[in-house]
Amino acid sequence: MQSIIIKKIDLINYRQFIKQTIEFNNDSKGNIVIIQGENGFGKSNIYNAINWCFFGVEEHLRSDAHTLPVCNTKIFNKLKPETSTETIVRITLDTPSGEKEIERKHLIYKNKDGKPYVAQNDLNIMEVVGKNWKIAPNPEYIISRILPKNMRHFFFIDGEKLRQLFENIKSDQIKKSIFELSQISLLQNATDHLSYFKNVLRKGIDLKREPDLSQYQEYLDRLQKTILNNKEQLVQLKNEVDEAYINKSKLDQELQELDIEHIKTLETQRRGLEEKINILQKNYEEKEKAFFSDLIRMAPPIIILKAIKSTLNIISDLQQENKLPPTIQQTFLEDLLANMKCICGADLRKEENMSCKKTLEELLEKAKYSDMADDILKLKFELKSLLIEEGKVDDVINKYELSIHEIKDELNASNKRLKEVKTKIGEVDYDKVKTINEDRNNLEKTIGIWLGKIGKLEVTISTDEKKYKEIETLYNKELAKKDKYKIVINKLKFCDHAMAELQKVKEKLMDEIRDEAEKNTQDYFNKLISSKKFSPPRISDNYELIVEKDGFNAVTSLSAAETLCMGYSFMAALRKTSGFLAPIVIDTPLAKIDKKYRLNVAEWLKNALYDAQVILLVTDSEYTKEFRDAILPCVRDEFILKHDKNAETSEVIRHAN
Amino acid sequence: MKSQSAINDRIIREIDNLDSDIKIKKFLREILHVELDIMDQEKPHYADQYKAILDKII
Repeated sequence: MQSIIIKKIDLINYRQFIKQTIEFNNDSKGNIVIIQGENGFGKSNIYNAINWCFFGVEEHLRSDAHTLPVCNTKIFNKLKPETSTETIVRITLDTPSGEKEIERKHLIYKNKDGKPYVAQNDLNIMEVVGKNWKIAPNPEYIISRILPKNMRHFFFIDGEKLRQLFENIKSDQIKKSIFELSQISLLQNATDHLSYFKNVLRKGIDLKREPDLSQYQEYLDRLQKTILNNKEQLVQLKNEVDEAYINKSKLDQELQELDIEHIKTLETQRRGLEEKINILQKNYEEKEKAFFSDLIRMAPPIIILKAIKSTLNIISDLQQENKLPPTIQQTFLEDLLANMKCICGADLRKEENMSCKKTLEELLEKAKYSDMADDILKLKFELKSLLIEEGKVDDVINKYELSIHEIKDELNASNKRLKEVKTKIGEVDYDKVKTINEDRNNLEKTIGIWLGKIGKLEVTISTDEKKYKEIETLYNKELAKKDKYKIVINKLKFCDHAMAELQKVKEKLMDEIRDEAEKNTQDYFNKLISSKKFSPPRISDNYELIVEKDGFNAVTSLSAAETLCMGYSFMAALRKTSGFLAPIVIDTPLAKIDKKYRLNVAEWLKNALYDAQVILLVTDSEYTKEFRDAILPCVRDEFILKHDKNAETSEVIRHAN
Repeated sequence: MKSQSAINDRIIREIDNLDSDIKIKKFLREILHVELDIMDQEKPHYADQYKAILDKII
């Protein structure tokens, strides 16, 4: 089967593209188109433009861009109040039923206050009928035949968002994807419509003549209206929850781009450094104080060092010359003489000991100066202590200097690091982080409230449907009593039968498509990740995605690259099963894929998606030489995005090679 | 242009394979075509078309 390919994209006054035509090469055989550009150059806005043209939505917008009109901001700012400007995105397609041109146009008006509003929103499709171009009567219908809006996520893929989605993929998301793919909604709509249609059939009965039926009919009408309203509310709420999840994921991505974890780390570092600097500063001051106090204590011996040394010399000389008075206590000598007994015990009264007595008397005479000798010896001791102290001065100074230097070095290093951290933090737009965080918290709160409402509504609908069936049975019993309404009874029974058969088809298809999706996901995943660490992915009866590792489901603990590969495998599997032949557009396809898997992705893109036109919007760091060499045989076109920073405009130019 | 989807063909095939009355199968096929045509309408109008199909069959 021939796939649908984009031949040309025209961007007129759309975001940073003033007037741009990207024309794809039709002669080449490859199916892959590369559009390469740095972040901020407009890659994601090409992705947005394609989504916007087909479905009127821009999938990948910064939160602050949601409030901006789709036209170029500079052009809008130059507009005078109460004038307008036009934005056009036009995509020319080659389809099996001929060429088609999808054109979405916004007329953006600037009001008196300078605020924008969309004055006109047009979608037109031109198609070749015979030899002429004609406007197609129902553009939405044609687009839904190319790619239904609810299936766009399988074809227009944001690599980063896909990875985030699969990091916490839930069974109801898998189920929803399979529902969308297997067109279960189509079968569900038919069942619902048949149920309401039965009411139309009952209206054929003249209820004025049938008061017993009239009561039931009134009740059924009322109940059906309630069920219908609740179901509409439920769909709306579910869509809002989906939208809220998408917006939450966008905010998460913005926070991630701002690298909130890094900011948190920097903040922690700043706090830590400031505390450390405070402690170091205190230590430094205490050490310095202790040093000075020691210096002051040591100052006297340093100042009078010369005097101490000369005094000590004098004392030593006197000691050597034995010129110092004896150190014997005066009272001791007096006691000896009073008792007339020598130290050795001799009696001093005896004549032969008179010389001892004389010596003691001489000593007593000298002993009057013995206190002075004591003082001199004490002085000598103290002077020596001072000398010892003086000798320690160098050691003390060295010790203090070393530890003070150490603290000072650490303090300087910490202050330097603090300055760096503060500079980095200063570069962060805190108001933006705060706003995004607040928006995210509000969204989480709202999602919680909505989920609660969804639960309540589901219970109400289920109770009302049960009640409806009970009343309907009573109604049918009453109706059966009346022969004249035989045809109506038959038609109602026929509708019931048809509904039961539709239910069978729905259940069978769901099972088959789940099995097919599982098989294809396994095939693709094995080609992308040839790891034996885990079992091939499975989709359980409850639509839970399972990748077993050591007997446990490891789907939420895969690496970023493995998760993204899982997402690609699942999306490609569903695309294959769907049979839709729309082009595939992938924004940042390799962002989180490790080097070791990149060549697998290249091979996979070549082999698994060979039957589709694949437009890859890649950054310079993704489109490495190695990856380019691997994919080049299948590359139809290569384009590069150029950005004019001053003019805030971008343009797409064909790669020189 | 008819639907590009192989799934739609598959639904029709499943209906054909049903072990059911031929009238039911015909009715289901036709109302599914109605559903395909109105699938992108916000307030789809189906009752008149359903009635016409049913009147034709019964």
